[in-house]
Amino acid sequence: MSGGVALQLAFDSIAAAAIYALVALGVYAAHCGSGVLHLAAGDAAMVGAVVAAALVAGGLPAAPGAVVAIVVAGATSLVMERVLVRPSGTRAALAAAALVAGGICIRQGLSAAYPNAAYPFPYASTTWRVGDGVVRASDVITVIVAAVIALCLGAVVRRTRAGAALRVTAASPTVAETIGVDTATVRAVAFALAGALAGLAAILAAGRVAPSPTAGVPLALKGLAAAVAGGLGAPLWICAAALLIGATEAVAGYAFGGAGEVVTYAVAMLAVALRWSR
Amino acid sequence: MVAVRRSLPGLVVLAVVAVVLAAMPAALSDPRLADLTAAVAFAGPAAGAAIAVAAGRPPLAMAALAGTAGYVSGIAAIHGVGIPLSVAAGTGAAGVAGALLAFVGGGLDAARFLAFSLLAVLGGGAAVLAYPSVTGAEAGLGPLPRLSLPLGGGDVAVLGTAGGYHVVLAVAVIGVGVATVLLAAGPGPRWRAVGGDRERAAMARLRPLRSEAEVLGVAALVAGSCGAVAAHAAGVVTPSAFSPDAAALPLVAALLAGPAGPVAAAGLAVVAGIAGQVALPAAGYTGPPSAQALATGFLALAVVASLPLRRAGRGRVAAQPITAARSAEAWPIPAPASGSTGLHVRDLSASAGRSGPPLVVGLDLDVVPGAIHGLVGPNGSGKTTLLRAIARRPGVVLLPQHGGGFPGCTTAETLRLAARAGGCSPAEAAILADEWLARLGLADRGATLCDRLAAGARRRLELARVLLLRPVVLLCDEPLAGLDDAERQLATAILEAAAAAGVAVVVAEHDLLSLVSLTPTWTVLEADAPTVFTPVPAT
Repeated sequence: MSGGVALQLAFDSIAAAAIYALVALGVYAAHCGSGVLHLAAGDAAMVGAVVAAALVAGGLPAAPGAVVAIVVAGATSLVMERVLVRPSGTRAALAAAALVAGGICIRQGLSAAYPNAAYPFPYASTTWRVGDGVVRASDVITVIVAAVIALCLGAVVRRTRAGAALRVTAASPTVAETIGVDTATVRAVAFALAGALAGLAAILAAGRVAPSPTAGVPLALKGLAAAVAGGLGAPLWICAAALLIGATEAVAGYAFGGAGEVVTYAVAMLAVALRWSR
Repeated sequence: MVAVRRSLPGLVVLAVVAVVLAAMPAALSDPRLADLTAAVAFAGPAAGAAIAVAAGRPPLAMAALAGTAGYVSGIAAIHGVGIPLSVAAGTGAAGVAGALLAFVGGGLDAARFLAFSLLAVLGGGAAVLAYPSVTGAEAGLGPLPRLSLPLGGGDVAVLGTAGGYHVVLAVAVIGVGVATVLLAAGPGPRWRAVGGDRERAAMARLRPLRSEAEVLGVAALVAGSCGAVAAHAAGVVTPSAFSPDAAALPLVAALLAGPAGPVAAAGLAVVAGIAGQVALPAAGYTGPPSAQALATGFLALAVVASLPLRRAGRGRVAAQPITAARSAEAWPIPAPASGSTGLHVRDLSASAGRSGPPLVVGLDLDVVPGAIHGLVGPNGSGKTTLLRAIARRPGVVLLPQHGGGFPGCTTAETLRLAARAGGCSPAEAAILADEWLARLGLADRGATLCDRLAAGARRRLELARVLLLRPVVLLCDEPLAGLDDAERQLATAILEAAAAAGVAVVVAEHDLLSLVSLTPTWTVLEADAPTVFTPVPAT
């Protein structure tokens, strides 16, 4: 393998990892706020991405389109929290299953409203040739945006009252309520954040997978796997798991072609089963 | 016989539906009958999902396991293996895959297992598409050899659409029936005990991982048998079984069916199948979404709509007045195995979690057989952590702080499981369970689910459960908390009876006064290190 190809694979790995890390951090936030695994983050993301892509196709510039995607995905996830998670009470497994069921409803509704197979969203198509390899501008943008978002998120969680409320709710909802934290609001905000981050991930991934009603599950599932493999505990471990899955996807895809996806899912399954911290 | 009797209502419904469905070929054209065959084949994965949900392993992989069976059977048949052997190989492969899924994902809770199983589904779909020369990729694998009947002399009669439909229906009915009977009795209570409270089941020596592997293995066999015969009935197997929507149908059917079990889940899945495969296409619906995806969506919508009802939950059974004897002599508790030397702990340290700070450091503890020893300390001092650390030793049984019995089991099933784990034969376990229920004042509550009992009755039941495990050492985590005076007297009498029988008993309470009536010997857990106080008995 030449140096150029290695560089291309490295960028590809990090960009894929950045996309999955965004979804994973959202899933982690939702889990902190509610104890529930957000199994429908991908469907929320695709509601935002497909609606935004349709608006952009109708003349809306890409940047406001991306904002629309993030806001709509966040709002969809918020509605999921109200309609699916809250009625499930404290039963996390039931809430997760309800999210699966709700995800199906949303997917079919979205398919009916937006019947095209895919809704392409504009992305930076510039490429740079480095030796035998190619570096895509969209990958560079993805990595920069994801890194900025992750750093901002980390600062908010560590240094603000909202972040403290999320942390104490994650540690113990009961204790959080006794010290005056409105855990219902924390849970709602955490779910909205999860949807928004997944929506952003879907837009950043548009150069790889065009938004479509059915594209959310595979996209978000790898992010979800990264969150679970990271133990839903420390964001750093979650990002490391996302890097593992992203790197496997890039390298296995290069080495095995179509069978690379099988290797990626196998590694994701093993990472989930052998998660690093509980 | 007991298994069949308990599941009789479900089996009767299944038989009636089967008779109605068996008559359908007379009313439908061949293409519609082929669609109905596909709908009926959904029964297997749904029944499998129902028993897996009851065992706390809600899977999204049931349809994919049926698809796997179809592919394995199809590939074998194309390579000249006979249909029965191919179907058996496909079903077996699905069963092994199901058990493997349970083993690899064994440490995951139910929600994480959902995600894990969906990864397996999408991975399976990717594998099917990655090897088109073997699987036929998107177009599917076919034409497959059709189902046939041997006529003797080497002749075979290839079944037509109606014949294939009846074979699929028969396999589905048998699979759903087997799932219903197994969940009601036999290994069913153990599976439900694990599903209701995995940690309690592990402490009760029920080996959760083995139960989960059994459940998913059986569920996959039921799903796989339907998938394999349906593939040969249709003459083709496609990767559609590996889509997220197909994965969700058995799960949502099982969720909607709830306690009604495999028959209801299978029925709902078949109804959704008839809507998606037969009714909507016949009505001219073309999508998107596809007719089957739309039907699955409506079933999922029903699950969402039912959530508020689930939250309301089932009402508690009114507390019964305690009629059981409150003296130790009234409780004939069997002595532990001879040679017991009680509990001897040296220099024990215990931490909260794997990376938490040590809560107990350098504890020495001796409790001889027949003695009751107290552990006192404020909340957070490490009592539960200490008991859990000690509970890993052989012969030691822990009475957990909360709850009582297994939430998915009846009171009688809970006690029978405990007695079996304690070494009794099934017949002895049934007798012991009935005796204990009578002593506990729960004789008329044998068929009541544990989570429907009032709190005091659940704690009584839990004491009986742990004693039926025949412990050498019994560790009790706040056994008197939340009990009224009468219930405290009863619990105290049972613990004294256990000690009188030769069990070494350790009782942890945060309230010293609760312990005074039980024992003159206790250990105080403080912030730094535990201190053992052994007051001299009054003379």
